[in-house]
Amino acid sequence: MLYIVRNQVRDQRVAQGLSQAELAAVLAVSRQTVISIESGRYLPSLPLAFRIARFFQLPIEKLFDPDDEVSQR
Amino acid sequence: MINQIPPRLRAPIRVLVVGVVIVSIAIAGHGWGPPVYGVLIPFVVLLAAGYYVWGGRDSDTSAVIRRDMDERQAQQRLQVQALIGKVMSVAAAIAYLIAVAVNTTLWPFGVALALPALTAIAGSVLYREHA
Repeated sequence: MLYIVRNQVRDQRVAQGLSQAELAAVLAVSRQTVISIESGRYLPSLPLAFRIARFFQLPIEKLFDPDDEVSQR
Repeated sequence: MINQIPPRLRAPIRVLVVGVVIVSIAIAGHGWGPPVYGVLIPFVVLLAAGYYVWGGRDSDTSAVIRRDMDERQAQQRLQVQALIGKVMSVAAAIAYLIAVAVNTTLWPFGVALALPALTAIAGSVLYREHA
């Protein structure tokens, strides 16, 4: 089962004028991981999701929308 | 001590250390000859140089080489290790069957066959959740 949870990370990053590398440096992850999260290929761990939410000062459910969850077999 | 070494140098240094040990064993067993200075030493030096160059890139594999991974890269590394384990388990089973077929000494192949099963048991004990 593959879960795709849509997120607002790219929108928030662009709104703040940050590059993927800059956001990666702030979150202490690689640029590739930011790319994967933004594209929905990688679901971050709960601690990382909270770090991202805190950085953008948004509730986690605003950033990662479980209502948009898509599951595929 | 390994943490004081810059991440990019860790893998090349590991390769060089292991390489020196292997070269020393080869020299002790077979003496100084073309297989050592023509094959083994160039292989070790090229491998270390390759790790140094590769480790400096901006990629997931480079992060794994530098042992400088984030959670996603660590997960990828685990998946790769799991794949290696599966392939080696199948290879051990095939090697055992071949050893039976050609009627050769079985115990080394039996050990190789038993190790994955024993490791699976040890892993499930080590990493079980204490609920």
